[in-house]
Amino acid sequence: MGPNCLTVIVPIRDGRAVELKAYLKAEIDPDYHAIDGTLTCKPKMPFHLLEGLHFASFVILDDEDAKPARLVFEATFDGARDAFVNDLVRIATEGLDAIFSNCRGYPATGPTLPAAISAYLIAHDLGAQLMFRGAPGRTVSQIKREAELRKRLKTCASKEAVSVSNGLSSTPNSIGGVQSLLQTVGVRRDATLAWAEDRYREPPEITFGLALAFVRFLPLIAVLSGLWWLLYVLLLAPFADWLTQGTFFSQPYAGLTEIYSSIRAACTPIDGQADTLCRRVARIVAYPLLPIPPVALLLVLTVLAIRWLQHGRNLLYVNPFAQTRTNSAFSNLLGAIRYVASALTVLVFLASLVETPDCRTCNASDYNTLVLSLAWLLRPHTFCEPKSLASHWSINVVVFLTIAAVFAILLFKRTTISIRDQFLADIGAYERSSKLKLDALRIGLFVTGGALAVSLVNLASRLISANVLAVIPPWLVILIATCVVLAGLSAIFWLLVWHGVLEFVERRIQTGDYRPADELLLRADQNEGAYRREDWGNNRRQNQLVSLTHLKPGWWNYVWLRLTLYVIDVLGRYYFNRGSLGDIPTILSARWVLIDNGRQLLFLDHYSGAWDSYLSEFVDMGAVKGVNAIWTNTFIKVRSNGKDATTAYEFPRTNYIFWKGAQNEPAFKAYVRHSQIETLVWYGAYPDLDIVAVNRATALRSGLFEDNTMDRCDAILQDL
Amino acid sequence: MPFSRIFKGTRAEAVRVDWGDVQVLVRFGLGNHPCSAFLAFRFADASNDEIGRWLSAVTTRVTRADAGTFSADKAEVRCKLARTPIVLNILLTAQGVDRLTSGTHAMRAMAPAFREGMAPRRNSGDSVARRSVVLGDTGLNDPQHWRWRDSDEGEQRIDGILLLYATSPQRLAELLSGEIDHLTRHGMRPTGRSETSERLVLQGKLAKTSPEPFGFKDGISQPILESDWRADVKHEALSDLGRRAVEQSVIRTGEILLGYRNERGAIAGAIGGDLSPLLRNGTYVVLRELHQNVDAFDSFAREAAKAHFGTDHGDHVTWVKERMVGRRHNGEMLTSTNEAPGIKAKRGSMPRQGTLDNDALFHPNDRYGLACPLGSHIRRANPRDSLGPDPGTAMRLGKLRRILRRSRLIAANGHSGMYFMALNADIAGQFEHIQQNWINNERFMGLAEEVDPLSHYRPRGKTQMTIQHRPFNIRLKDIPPFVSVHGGGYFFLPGLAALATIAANLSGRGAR
Repeated sequence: MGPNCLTVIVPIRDGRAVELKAYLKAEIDPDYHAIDGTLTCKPKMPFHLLEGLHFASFVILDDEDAKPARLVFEATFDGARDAFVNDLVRIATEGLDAIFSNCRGYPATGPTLPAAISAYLIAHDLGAQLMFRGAPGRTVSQIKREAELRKRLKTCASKEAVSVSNGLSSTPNSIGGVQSLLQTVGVRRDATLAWAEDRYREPPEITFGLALAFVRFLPLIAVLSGLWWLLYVLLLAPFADWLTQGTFFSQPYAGLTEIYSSIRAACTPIDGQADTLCRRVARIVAYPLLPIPPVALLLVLTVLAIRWLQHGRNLLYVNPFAQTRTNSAFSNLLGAIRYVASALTVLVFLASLVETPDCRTCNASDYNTLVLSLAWLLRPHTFCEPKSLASHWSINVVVFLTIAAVFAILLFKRTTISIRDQFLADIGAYERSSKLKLDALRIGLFVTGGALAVSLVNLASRLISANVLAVIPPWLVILIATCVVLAGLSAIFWLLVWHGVLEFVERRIQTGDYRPADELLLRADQNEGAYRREDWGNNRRQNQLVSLTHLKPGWWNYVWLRLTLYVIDVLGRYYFNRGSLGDIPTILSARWVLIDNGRQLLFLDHYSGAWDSYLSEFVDMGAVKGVNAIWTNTFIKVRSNGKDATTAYEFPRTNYIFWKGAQNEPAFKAYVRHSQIETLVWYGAYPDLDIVAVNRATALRSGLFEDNTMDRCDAILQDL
Repeated sequence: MPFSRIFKGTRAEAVRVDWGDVQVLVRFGLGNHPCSAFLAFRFADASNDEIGRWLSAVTTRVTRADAGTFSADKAEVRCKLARTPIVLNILLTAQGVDRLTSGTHAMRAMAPAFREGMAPRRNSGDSVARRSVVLGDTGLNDPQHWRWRDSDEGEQRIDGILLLYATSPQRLAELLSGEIDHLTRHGMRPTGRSETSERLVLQGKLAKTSPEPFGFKDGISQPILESDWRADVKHEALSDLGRRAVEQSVIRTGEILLGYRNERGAIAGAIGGDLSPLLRNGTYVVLRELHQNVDAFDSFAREAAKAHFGTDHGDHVTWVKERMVGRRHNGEMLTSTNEAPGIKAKRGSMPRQGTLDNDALFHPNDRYGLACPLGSHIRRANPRDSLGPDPGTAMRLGKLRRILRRSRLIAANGHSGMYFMALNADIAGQFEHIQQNWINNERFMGLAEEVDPLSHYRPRGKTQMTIQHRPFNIRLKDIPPFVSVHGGGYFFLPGLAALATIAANLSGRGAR
């Protein structure tokens, strides 16, 4: 999925940086015309001749400590990298030679051998650890001509509006009539616009989203599930040991004895058959395939309801993507669902231990009578036939669907509160049904994914139980079971584990002695030079933000950052691929590059709109969690005026990595300001567009020739 | 325990504002004081001691926000200012604060936008200052053409402004001459040329007695501070929609007053949790002298009506004007579904600003701008819950940008226009944000190539406006600028304790 990226970083020869900076500004940087919003490239670097080039820029990172100054050249383009570099070198040999001859390692052959320059550039390409595309899958020419088409259609529509209101023509009397009018007047009369009728096929990443990611990452998910299962079963044993051997639970807790006996009952052979240890263990460990007993279901539903009531506001704090109560689409509740799902897992396990697996071994205690009657209501056939794998599975599916339905109802209840607020009766019904459909789809995906994951876990556990767990003595099995039971009794446990991990990681990555970012606010100098292009001059409508931060020492920081960038990269590819990254609708193209052996993080970002509001979006939208996760372990070195000594300021302190941090708005903005580096050369292929306009133009073009419903057609007219 | 850190509630604590320490302008629009004069002054070469004595005397004369009562009964929040015939408040520019606190680091805690001023000097080589582009003050509106600026030097220098309000012109004249006496007696000067004794006094009148020059009612939709939004208002009586409609106006105190929690949950003005005592109970004030070209507005509306309806009949001209503003002339909102049940329930049970039906939300009522166009002036100045797909988020974000307006019409002869005045705790995040990202944003709400039809200024001179309509949107073309800027500055409206401290320090330093 394009466009692709190139990030060339090369050290500059000693003492040449100042000269090079001046050269880039004077001879390479395209001229911007504020009135008509166009760029004119300089003859030495005719970027506009490269058909597939979206953005390009040059930046110089100043020398520091023992490191030389470095030249950064980045480009976002369609097609393959090597072909792009060859084209670039072909059209701008002289310019590239003048620039890169100031850099170390530049081939001595110079412009006489363009292939050597290409090879040099490609050899120093660092790519990007994380690349975000505002309009994935679209080429420069498509973006440009769709924007032209939109402009043209707008003109047509306003002409029609005038002639209608002046009585010169009559309003088409149907939606279809309006649409075909636009098709004829706007497109078909002009033969050069024939392309607009071809259907645009968006990349599968956009169409299928996370489902595609799930399929592509299936092996990884399988391995991770297996590992998680191992952790789950093995690492908790010592903890359970400590809990049960201590005096705390031993005597006064009568229920525990019952549980022990139930487990014992569960492990006794059925029908006098000799049961192997292996089978016993398998039965316990492979619980996801056992039918979920009604008691478990009851417990789960109770816990679910209680947690739901309790959560209210709080679940939003658990979940990195949500910020407000009303912002409660299904995807925003994933945190809570993950949480409930873990509770569900352990509770199912608990209940499957408490209930004896076969009715014939039941005695007539009151407790079991209750269980049995409930069980009979839910699945009478299990009392007649020995359970086959298939029936287990089908029962599980039923149970999963029941739980999903409960989820859906709760979710629906929850969102309707805000829906009732937001919509009046007439549009309310439409909104409700569309939101319900959307949520149903997401829930379906979630349940399917969950069921698949569970069976993978199960498969792994069966393998483990057959080969590894067979050697574990029964007392350990009981310990493990007890431990899981205890964990299940308190779902908070999981929360603590989760946040304990975060806390641990956070402590590890936030070490060292740095000045707080708040102090940057007291500095008189505002790093003026770095943002002189913003809001006016060259970059009136599209801006570039280049930020260089240092990673705090320690391999933890590196691992954490790589992991975070990887996760966001995957999300950016499969989820945030409709023009907004975590609700930020202004990024045209952004990349994160780890340089200097992973000790520095370079952020190169093309965005539209004003700097201040753009940064506010980082602070106020869901994306703040991602910002915190990426930059939490960074610091910047700020050189005091006229001095060589630098002071290190750290990123505003985060709370459990995802919270606070950038939400300290003034300090965050000051931090970004001081981390910014002046853009020396900037080129954009469509400098008067923003990403909303790009995506609207695509939607307009593909919507115009589809058989549209009333509301789709209305959306088209709204846009004109 | 980490658990408590995560689940720590962010429920708003009861905010108590020490209104005795706040200048009256923060809380009251001074509707009973229709006559006003803003007297700009400079410290000239007065000694610290003199300035200190003058300042402490002024501090005692300043009208405080506890002079009036702010009551919330079951129906509405009412504010009544006790019958004081005259009102005096004081504003300081960055230069003024710098002069008063010279030798201390007090200035460093002030907002960068304030320190830089509304009309900063250009960097060498730049055709225009960055801030001027942010504000849209370019071309004919460039600060170099202004009558007055907060960055003026010499005799034009403004160190501060005395805001004088009175119930009658006579009272105002007495007050004005009295204050000028006080100033000169302490060695200070009113801003302006001394040889011609031409002073910078901005004579104003109140918009409520007369509509603003374009003929529309102004000053509607003011935010309500959370500290004034009492619990005893009958919230239960409101429907869900009604409550949301009212609560759209309730903002946390720190959005306006420094030293209190703002919508982001941070203490406004604090750096790293520490608030400079100079800032407490103060706020930043934006003051701009805007001239309105009424003739151009009228003739444009006529032309547009002619182009679209083939007639310039009064109703059609009004239709065009109302679409540009987004309100009717009497201030009512342009909504097609005012009578929907959710809205009706709130009637008579919520605070109203004026008597107008003003609290409708855009998202439920008019999401696509078919009644009140998306690009109309009021929608650009306060998009309420309509900016973005999720109304809750939009509302939350919108509340970060609210400003408290205290504008007055220009009373001097010859010009129609207003002294636009806005109070906010964060100039860059509130006033400038509105100006840059909403009013002058060509791509506001997904529109293209158009800016605010009423108060725009574009380098290309003219703009257009889309009036959402079916089947086809109506486009007003070649809208010339109607509003021009002729003066402006960023000011600080200090709390009284801060003023007293400054005065004491000055006297102390002078005596030493």
